[in-house]
Amino acid sequence: MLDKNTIEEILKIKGEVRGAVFQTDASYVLRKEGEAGLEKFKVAIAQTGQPIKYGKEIKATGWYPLSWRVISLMVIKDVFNWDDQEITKMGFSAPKHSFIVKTLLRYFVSLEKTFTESSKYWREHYSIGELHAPEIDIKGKRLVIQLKDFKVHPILCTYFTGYFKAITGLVVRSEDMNIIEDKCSFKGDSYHQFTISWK
Amino acid sequence: MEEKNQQTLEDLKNDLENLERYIEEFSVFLPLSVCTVNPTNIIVDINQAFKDLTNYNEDSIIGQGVEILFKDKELAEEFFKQILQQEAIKRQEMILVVQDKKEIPVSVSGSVRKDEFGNIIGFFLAISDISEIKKFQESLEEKVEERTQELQKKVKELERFYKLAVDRELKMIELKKEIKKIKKN
Repeated sequence: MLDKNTIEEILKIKGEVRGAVFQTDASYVLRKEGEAGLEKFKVAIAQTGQPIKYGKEIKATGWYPLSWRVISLMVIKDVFNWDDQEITKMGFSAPKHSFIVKTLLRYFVSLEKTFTESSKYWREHYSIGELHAPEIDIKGKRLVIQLKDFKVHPILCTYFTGYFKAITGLVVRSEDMNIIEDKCSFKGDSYHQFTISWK
Repeated sequence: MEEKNQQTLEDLKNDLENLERYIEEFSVFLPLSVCTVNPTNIIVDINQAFKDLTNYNEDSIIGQGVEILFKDKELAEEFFKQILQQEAIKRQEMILVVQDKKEIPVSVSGSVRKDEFGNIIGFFLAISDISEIKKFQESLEEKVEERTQELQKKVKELERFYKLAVDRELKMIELKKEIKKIKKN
């Protein structure tokens, strides 16, 4: 269970996120752990003292504290004793279930379109941070994404590794795709950088 | 002015939430299987009826090439090309291959999607299960075949009877001629 100090530290995080992320969290827990698992997760969330809801109360298009997004992921990891790999899988699954992503399908036309418009896409999800793609190399089968001004929590780096891979998979046909976070704000870099390559 | 802007923002938020609810409810209710495909023929969205028909879920099918769904890949790819060229095509019969490899005859309609500038951003596919119609059609064809065979049998019997009657008539004429000849002599 998250201790009081950890929660207080997380609550200092500024910024907001769309409610869709809480829906995708709950949907993933439900698929992985069933109804009982979801209930266990909701109880653990209530114990943090934060009014985070996962039912009809949450609106996919509504804005909620970004700190809740971190608490939600931390509690899931803690309650089910999931490792980083499972959090990455959770991130990989999220865009396929997100209502917000459905409203942004117009961006998933091609690799160039998706990632040249990535800053708009980002702003539809998070009120802080800037996402852009300085390198889109179709022939070289390589893509570099940078996330700036977003030093939120390392759990999101793990989550985004899966998330950005899934987004790329919506416009690139490949069974063999790899993603690494080669720069990270929590490892002394000034921004996060994810490099995606495929065969 | 500030208050007015705040009110407009609040109204827009409410409209968006209502729209979100409407889309969700409609998507769950809609009994027709629909998937959304981008211009690279990758599936980017599916509805509940699609999941019910194919047994695929979002995790297993979103991000896959749409041709995976159809038995005849060439026919499917030609169909997708035509949708992008003609903007809408209705009722192409195909064989759908669902997750457990079961084959289902379906009727597929497609319609292009465009953005606010008129650029094509993909297409929708609506897939209807026509296996019941096909079964009915097949049983109807079997019945027609049975009836045709019965009729052909009857026609043959009639032909045989007609031939017998004609032969008998000819024989009678011959015999009458014979009797006439005998009487003359």
